[in-house]
Amino acid sequence: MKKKIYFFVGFLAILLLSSCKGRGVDNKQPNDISNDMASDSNNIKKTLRNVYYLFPSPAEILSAINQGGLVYEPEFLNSTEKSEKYVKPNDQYLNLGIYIADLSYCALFARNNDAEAYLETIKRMSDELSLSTEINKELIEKVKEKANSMDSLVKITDEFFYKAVNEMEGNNRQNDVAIVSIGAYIECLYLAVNQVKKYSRDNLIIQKIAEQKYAFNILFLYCMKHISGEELTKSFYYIKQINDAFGKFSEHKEKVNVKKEGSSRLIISGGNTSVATEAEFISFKENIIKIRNSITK
Amino acid sequence: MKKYKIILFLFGFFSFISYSQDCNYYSSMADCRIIMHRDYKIYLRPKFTLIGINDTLTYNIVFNGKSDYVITLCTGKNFYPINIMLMQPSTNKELYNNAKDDYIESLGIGFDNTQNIILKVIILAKKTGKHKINKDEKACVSLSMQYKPF
Repeated sequence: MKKKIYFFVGFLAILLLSSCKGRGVDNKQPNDISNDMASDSNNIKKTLRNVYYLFPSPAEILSAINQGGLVYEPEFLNSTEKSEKYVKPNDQYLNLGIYIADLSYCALFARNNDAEAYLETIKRMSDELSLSTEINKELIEKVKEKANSMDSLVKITDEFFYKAVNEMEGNNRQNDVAIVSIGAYIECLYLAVNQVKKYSRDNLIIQKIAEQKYAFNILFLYCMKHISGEELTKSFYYIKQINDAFGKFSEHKEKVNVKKEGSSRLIISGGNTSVATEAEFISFKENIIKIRNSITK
Repeated sequence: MKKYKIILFLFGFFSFISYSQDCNYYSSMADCRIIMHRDYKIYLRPKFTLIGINDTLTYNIVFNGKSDYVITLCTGKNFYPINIMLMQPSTNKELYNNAKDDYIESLGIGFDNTQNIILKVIILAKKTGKHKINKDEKACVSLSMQYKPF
């Protein structure tokens, strides 16, 4: 009888332990990171334990810029044929982000045929990077079911991005979230800056691009919180360059005003707004194109 | 047989503890399901976080201009009220505190310009009723946002 009980207890213990998440199993070991950097990183992580950086998805970034009136220019998308060339994990994560942004761009203009090619590429790359195949199957089925509806396609690409982010974060793969997001954000900017053929001060697309500095800053802070490993450090360099480039835009300062309407509604007006001069924008555009092309080459 | 029952009880109890430490399934566990407002779309991803009572949760968020947002916070019934504060990151100035509005949990905000806002959340757990809150107890908090352009 006692033996049976011991066996039963042992079995339950194994069951209980196996139900714990295998955090860190998929996580890359930052073998070559210096001790000082690891210690700094730990201090930052401790201080920022209850701080969350909620950065928008590529579809949300493109939708915001689209308020300035984007048009569909597929020649600026990264060709899916190049995807086989990306073999190093860092290149794969960055370009996965690039392709997710391209998919979001196709979705924004309801280009389902183009979207499907990106979907297939994203599926293959996600499989190679051990992202859930369940997400991919579900995504492809949804796209096939809801073809030709812009809203559905944007919603589906958004869902895919956030599910992938949640899954990676759930497995302590914040490094990977950061690299994929950096790639996606760079592509969103690349697609947007290429729509501006000629500078004008009241160009709404330029204004919307300048406003993305907040989203980039939040992603930058997310990277700061989760920085580790040589691969992230390399990608972090890109986002730092872009963050610095945004910082060069002129700023129009205005006091923030909060007005209350009823018991549960506020109107927030004023606040600082970024304005790019012609020289600032041209330099910014050149920077973005250079960085993006160095990733997709 | 009694021993088996005790073991099964302990197993169930510890499973519950390990489960309750993870807020990922919170939306289905508590009354925190997202109710969509007409013409609004989900903004960002809903965030579920485990936090101690009186600890401060900080969310750094960007809100697009010319858009209306609905921000909703939710927690377990024993942990209300929730204190929500909106801060301006560059000055750390408090723009709004829901203490003035009897700790409402859902807030509508219209943004004229794109703004970076810090959202601070504290679980006060003052409406606990008969339930006695242990100071080390932790609560799951859900944050969900919806938006629509003006």
